[in-house]
Amino acid sequence: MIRWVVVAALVVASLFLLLPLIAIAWRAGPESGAALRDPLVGEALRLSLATSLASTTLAVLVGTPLAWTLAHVPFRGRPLVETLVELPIVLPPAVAGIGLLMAFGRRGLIGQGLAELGIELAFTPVAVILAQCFVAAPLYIRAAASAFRAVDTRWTQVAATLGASPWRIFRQVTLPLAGPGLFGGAVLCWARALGEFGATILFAGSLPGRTQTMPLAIYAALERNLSVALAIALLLVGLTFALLVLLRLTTRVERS
Amino acid sequence: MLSRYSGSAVTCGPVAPLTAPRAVERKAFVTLLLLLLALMIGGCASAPSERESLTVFAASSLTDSFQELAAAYEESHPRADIILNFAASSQLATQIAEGAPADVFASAGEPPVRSLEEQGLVEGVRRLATNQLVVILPSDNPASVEKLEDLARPGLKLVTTGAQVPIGQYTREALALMDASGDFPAGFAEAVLSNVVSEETNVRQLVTKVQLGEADAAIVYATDLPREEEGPLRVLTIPAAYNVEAVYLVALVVEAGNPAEAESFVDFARSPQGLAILEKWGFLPP
Repeated sequence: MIRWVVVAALVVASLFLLLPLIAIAWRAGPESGAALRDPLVGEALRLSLATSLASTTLAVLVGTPLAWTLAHVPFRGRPLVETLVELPIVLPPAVAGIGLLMAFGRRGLIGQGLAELGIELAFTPVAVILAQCFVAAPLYIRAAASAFRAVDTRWTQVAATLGASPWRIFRQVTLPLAGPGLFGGAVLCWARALGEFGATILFAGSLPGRTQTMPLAIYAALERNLSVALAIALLLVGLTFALLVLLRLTTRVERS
Repeated sequence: MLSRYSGSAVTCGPVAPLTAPRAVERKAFVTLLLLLLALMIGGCASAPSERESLTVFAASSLTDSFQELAAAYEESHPRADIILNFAASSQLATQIAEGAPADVFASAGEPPVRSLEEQGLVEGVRRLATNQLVVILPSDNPASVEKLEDLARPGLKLVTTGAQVPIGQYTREALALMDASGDFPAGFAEAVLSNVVSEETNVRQLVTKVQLGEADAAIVYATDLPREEEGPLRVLTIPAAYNVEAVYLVALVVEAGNPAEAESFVDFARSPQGLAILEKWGFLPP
């Protein structure tokens, strides 16, 4: 009896998750080909790829040292820092958007000073990258810290007794061992950055070619041309699916 | 090959088999599942209410006026319960076309309503009110805009909506009028439109961006000026020669859940009492 309940629950859950995706494909139909050639799509795709790659790179550059510190350096208040770093993951994107606006907007906390220096961030691709970084970087940091923690300290100790400098140990022992975990975290970060909507539209605005990433383009196209919106949606589904497959493959490599 | 396991105890032998859940636990689990299911079904079936619910989709610019209209209507019709949904008229039209449950549709422009009418989704289209456009600037006027010509100045941050939203369409129409008049430098409309830094989703968001000081200017409806308490904004009037008459239309949704009440509400909105409320909020007669 219990087996059938479980099977039923599994089927219902899978259908629930798959149905919206199937429905997009079903509704998009054969017109997607022509719809994909709409200039809005190309601009959104280029912008999405450029900004998400930039924000992921930024997250990796700034997040890796932070993750290593969280993993190996015990300091007072570490749990608090860990919680703060994880906060953007659960924070509603709209709240993130308002927060970024209040911080970096023209009359914002930091934005005011920046404006006097002639730097205005809102409505620029930089704002898009900032918004994406804010919501996606914590995913990388969390995965990276976990990967660093999993590195067997015996190997780093052995390397140290053999006379390697801390930087060399990090480069030739820690990094290769944590590598797959770091890569998986980066892929997750990239996927989240690609899909970011709420914070972006509030902080960066939405202008084709400058700040209108694919999720924003879907929203804009929805009232204008449904088939274009569906085509972009399909594109995004395909991209994120490919990213997740990549993630699965690296996890498998990690286990071998 | 480097092992991924830590130095301490590495489990190598066969894992102990999982014990099957006891009969009591199994019963409890099934009961819980059924209870959850029952709750969900029960929640979905809404209890029959004694009040007549009416769903009104209205353009964002009608937010304040329609809230007052709804309150006044509910006062004189105690059994009525009006649910308001405010968004860009184009977005509302898309929602209705996709089957959203609406009884009345009040749009800030013709195209959203006419497209629904052509699809046979709305009927009984009537004029509700008219409106005019105005330029708003942050109170500290960061871009020092003193006259309409300044809107074409390079580097100015203008916000508007997409052309499918009524205010976006009217803005482009007004700019075209300015171009055609010959009173403005050549290529004025194009210069102004190249200053657009963001296409927001509805007219109220344009007001917000200007209030926040993020945008230097925006073209909105004369009725969208915030109340005094919300913080003052600078206003630049657009002379009648270049201004457009924004026409608000109200229509009945064909597949309305409550057509009688819908008709009654529309009649109320267009009655002297309803029009007085609209006028109070700055709308012009239909």
